[in-house]
Amino acid sequence: MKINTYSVFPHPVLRAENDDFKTGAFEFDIPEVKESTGGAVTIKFAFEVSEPGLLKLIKEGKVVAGAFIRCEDTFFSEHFTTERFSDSKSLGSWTFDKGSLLGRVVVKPFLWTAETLEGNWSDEINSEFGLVSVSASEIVGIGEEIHFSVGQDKLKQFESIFDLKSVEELEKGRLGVELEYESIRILAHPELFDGIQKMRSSGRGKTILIGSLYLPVIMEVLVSIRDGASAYEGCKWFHVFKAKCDHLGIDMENGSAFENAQKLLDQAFGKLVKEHERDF
Amino acid sequence: MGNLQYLSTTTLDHLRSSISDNLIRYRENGFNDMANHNGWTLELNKAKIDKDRLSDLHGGVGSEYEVSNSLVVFEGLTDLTPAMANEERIWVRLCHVECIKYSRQRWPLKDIQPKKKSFLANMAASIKNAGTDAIDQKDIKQITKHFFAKGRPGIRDDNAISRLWWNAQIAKLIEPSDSRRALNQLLKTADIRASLIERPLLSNRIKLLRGIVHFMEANPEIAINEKSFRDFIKSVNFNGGGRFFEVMSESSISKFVNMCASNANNGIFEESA
Repeated sequence: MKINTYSVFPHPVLRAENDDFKTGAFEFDIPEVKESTGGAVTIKFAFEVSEPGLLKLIKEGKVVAGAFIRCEDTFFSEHFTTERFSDSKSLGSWTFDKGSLLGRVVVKPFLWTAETLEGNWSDEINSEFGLVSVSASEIVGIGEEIHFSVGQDKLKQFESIFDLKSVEELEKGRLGVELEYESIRILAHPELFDGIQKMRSSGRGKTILIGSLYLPVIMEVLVSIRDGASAYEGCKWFHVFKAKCDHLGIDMENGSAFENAQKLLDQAFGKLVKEHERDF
Repeated sequence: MGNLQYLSTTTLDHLRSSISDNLIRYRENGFNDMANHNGWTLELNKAKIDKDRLSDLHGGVGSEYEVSNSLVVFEGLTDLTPAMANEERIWVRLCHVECIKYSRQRWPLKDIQPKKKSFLANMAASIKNAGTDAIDQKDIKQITKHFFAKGRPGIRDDNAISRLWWNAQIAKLIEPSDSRRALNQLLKTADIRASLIERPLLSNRIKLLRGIVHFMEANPEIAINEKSFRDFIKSVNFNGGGRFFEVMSESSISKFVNMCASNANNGIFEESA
């Protein structure tokens, strides 16, 4: 079922390391992959066809240049084409809907026939083929396969890196923070722990906790990172925290911890007032 | 409809390492008392859950239930993208909270045994301990496979709920206007699902899958037994090399699939023309 540079065809195919054509090449590249904050992915592409016969057929619309793009994680499998060739090159971009790609994406560039090609359709075809006709939808060029990776930042919410723990030894009404573990541990005396759990189960309580619990904890994290980020680089939470800061343009090691914590918690106080207004 | 919730990584890791401690919860008590705890209620802003629709899940075994349950899950989780649907924490939350009743019925665990109090009963129970441990181990394996979803195969094929969503998603790619039509063929038997969905080289070629599904509808005898269908798929694999199905017309694909079926029927796996 695979199509690659080793696939066997009964007609000439322009690809690296074969002599079906006397001259010319089919080159493909993806110079840039951009993931938008909304989740859409755009890739820039560059095609180059230097075999004169196939290039002429592309410009006449008898051969199509494009790529088969496949992502196993999302079952995405579609082909994309490019139409505008200037000289031997075609530059452009393809955009993919948000959530349609994830993880490893495979891009296989091809040239294929849009209609049947008869007789001597390129002067550069190796004479061993003689006059060879090719049906529509057959591959006549294979470029080098390219892979890229798409991340899943949207699911990495801040809440996922915190772990609230009940600790007997802690004084009633006080909280502690530990940063040396896989998650950021917020420690609370059992009574306070139960109270926080109850608050978490209501929308209003949750909003109050963002400003009163998570905001100072994040400030503490920022201050600790400023004192030495390398101490936390082996912790899972640090990578999510860093990614979030990078995404929001926050310099973790400089600036006001109070300002940066508010940016990271997106409207920690604005939502608090809204909840209050809703209740009264 | 509310926002779809999922677990924190810490909660997921903790649940995974506590299966044996939680056996009674999996078998009987459930996790409702923990469902609003810290780490259980992260929310996806855009994906929604319709709990009423999910309550239509039926724990029966068989193609008919697989088809209707796949549609129930797909309709009960709206705006979930394929990328999000790769997130284990969504499916584990569903299997432990909203869909635990269905998950237990479809992938049954051992019934709870009442505690024996008499001396003789305790003696008998200790003799049987080895057997109980074996049952526990079997349940732990069943829970690991169907209540969790590690990696792509775990999400696509094993988790009690995600496998249903992916069935419907693949069916929608094959027949956008009538996914039940595709589901009826894809889920005819477990062997057919394995051949068509669990093999990436085939399942990632949606236009070819559409051709196969249409052929199966018109020629139900191809799936009359495992051997007949396996030979057919073997022939498709054998003859499909080098073909760019994505740019082929529906009639060309139909012709190709018919040729493969004919070759398989005659025990020929090489294209004759």
